[in-house]
Order: sequence, then structure tokens, then C-alpha cells
Amino acid sequence: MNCDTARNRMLAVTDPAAIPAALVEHLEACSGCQAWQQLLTRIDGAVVATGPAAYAGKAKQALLEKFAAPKLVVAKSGSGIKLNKPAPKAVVVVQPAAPRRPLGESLARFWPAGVAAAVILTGVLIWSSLRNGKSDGPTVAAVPADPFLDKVVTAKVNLDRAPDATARLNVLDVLGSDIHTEARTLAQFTPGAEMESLAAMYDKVVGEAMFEQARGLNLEEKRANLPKFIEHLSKAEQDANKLAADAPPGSVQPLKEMARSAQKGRIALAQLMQQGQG
Amino acid sequence: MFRHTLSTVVVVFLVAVVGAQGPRTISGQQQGDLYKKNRLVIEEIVDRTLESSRKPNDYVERANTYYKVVYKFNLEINQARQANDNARIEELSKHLGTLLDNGLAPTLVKARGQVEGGTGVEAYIKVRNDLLAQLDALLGMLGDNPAAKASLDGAKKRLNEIRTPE
Repeated sequence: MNCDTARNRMLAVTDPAAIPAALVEHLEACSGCQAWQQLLTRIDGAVVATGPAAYAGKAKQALLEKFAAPKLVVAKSGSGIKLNKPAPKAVVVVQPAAPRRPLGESLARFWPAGVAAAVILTGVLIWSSLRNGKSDGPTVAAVPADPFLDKVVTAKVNLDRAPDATARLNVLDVLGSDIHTEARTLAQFTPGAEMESLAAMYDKVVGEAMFEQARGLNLEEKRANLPKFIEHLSKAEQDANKLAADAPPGSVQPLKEMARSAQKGRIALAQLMQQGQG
Repeated sequence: MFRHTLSTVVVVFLVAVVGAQGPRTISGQQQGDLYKKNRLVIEEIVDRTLESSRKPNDYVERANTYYKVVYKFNLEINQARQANDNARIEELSKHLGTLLDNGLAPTLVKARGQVEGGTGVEAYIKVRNDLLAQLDALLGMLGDNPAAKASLDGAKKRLNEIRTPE
């Protein structure tokens, strides 16, 4: 409840000292309205205490006469009395101000427009979804951005910002996984040079660079981090071998090389852990 | 009451529909074509990433790994320019901007800290100047592509703000 509402309600009650229950909470919290309520109480008391003003006795009579029926003046013919036609009185119609509606109420009046907008928006979304479903058609002209290039750029930035060997290992692990995922897709579509390129990159990342970083870890860091990377490489090795079994000819060899790289990296990391423990 | 309920139902429905859209995916064939197109630049970035990982404490050398990356981007952007492939120019410029702002700039700041008051100032200055010259060459090429030029201009300005040690 705001102050305007509270004060209007106080004005509406007969005895401002008797506060309706709904106002009590607001009054307790609002010093301005408390002062307002006290002022009302004082005014009310003053009105009761003030007696009627003394008057000469004729004012009331004079006032009543003004409202009494007008005396009828009958002009007899030949009397010479001229009657003026009464001038029409300007009628001023005073209309009470319309009660202020809250903003929500005003907006709610436009709900049919809201429903129409929602229906149009829904239609556009459905239409757009249906068109997306046909995106393999020859009419698609725009070439999308390359998500793999985006991942590789991110890896370069992340590696240069990595504060220590553990963080660098994590970046390389993600990069290896991204290359593996790319190869998984491309194996069916671009066998040959592209797959060989991915296999060579994968070997540099998981077969060499990860091991170099892992060598920089201390024993505790090795124990904490290497098992996770070994597990990732083990899964990647199995996956690459499985993919190679069903791949087209130009992808079989690169996938087998990727499996070997993952195996090499996994074994090298496992040996590092053993050396640390020994 | 009915209006409020209806509004809520409509909003929930729209949120569900929009949420279910998901990111736009590309087909395997498109992905293969993109790799063919971007292969050289991707290989270069990966090689320089690995080179950087081998020199964790030499920030001047790490900054220098960006030289070959910028050079490769120059070549690719030039080819895209000759083919009037504006979408590719913008994509490559965006990635180069990311590399310069988020990768090279912080590395260069660390490199400056590394050589300040010690040896290696000359190497630092050479690396920085070579990179800026390579960027200038690229910006000269991009005169007919204001959007790409503007984004790389900003990156170059930020690199220029990294001062040379006294």
C-alpha cells in the first residue's frame, strides 16, 4: 500500500483515530502518514470543539429567500412593464476526475494484441524450424563458420594464458579431444589428405606434447591429474579402433594411427606415474 | 485472472519453443569442406600452440609464435579477398582479433615484464615490431573491408599501447 492510498482511506473513515486494520501496518512503517493521521485527528477534534459562529439572524433568512421560488411578475397589458427574457445560464458540468488505473491494468486492456503477437511469433518460430530441417538442400548459399577453427583458436589463447603445467595439460587434453571429434565426423566424408592431416596433428598433441607437460608436474600433481588423461586417451584409442573397422579406405589408416597415438600417450603418462611412485 | 493465466501459458510456451531450438548445426559434408578450406591455418595454429607449450617461461618466444600465425592469416585473407569471399574475410579477421587481443596482448605484457631491467630487450623489440609490421601489411590489404579493418585496427591499437621497455 502506498501513502496516497493510505491517506485517502484515512480521509474516508468517520473517526480518523480509529485506524482500519489494513492501514495499521503501513502507518507503523511510515512516519509521514503517522503525522498525517495525527493532523487529521487534531482537525476532527477542533471541528467538534468549535461551536457555530454567531450571526445577526437575518443572513439565514436572506439565504433561504434566494433559493425560494421566484415571485411571479404578471405584466398587465398597458402597464408599461417590460419583461426581459431570462438569459440562458451557462451550465458548467464538473466531472470528477477518472480514477487512476495502475499501469498493469492499462496494459492488460491490450491483451488481444498480445495474443495476436504471440501467435505471429509462434508461427515465425515454427516456420523457421521447418526451414532449418531442409538445410541440406542446394538452396543454402551461406557457408557457416567453422566450429573446429574456433576451437583451435580457443586452444591457442587458452594455452598462452595457462598459468602452469597442469592448466597447459588440460588445454592439450581438450585440443586432442577436439581433433578426435573432428576426425570422427570427417572419416566418413573426407577420407584421404584431411584425415592424414588430423592424425598427424593428433599425434603431436597427445603422443608428444601432453607427455612433455606431464613431465613438469610434481608427484602430487601427477597423482591428481594423470589418471584422468590416461582414461581419456584409453577411450579415444578404443573409439578410433572401432571407427577404423567401419571407415572408408582413405580413413582406415589415419584412424589406426590415431589409436596408436592415443595408446602411446596413455602408456607414456602411465609410466610417468609409476616412476613418480617408485 | 483468465488474462494473467493466459499470458503465463503463452510465455511458458514461447520459452519452451525458443529453448528447444538449439544451436544451428552443420552437416558432416559441410564440416569436411570447411576443414579442407581452413586446413593450413588450423595446422599452423596447432603447431604454434605446441611450440608455445614447449617454452612456458620464455614469453618473448611465445609472443613470437604469433608471427607465423599472423602471416598465415595474411595469406588466407588475401586469397579470400581475391575470391571476393567477404564472409571468410570477416570470419578470419574475427579469429585473428581474438588471437591478438586474448592471446598475444597478455603474452606481450608478460614478455615486457620478463625483459625489463634485464637482457632480451632487443629481442622483445624485434618480435613486437615484426608483429606490428605484419599487422600493418594486413590492414593495408583490408582497405576495402571496413568491418574487418576496424576490428583489427582496434587490436593493433591495443598492442601499440603495450610500451617498449626503456
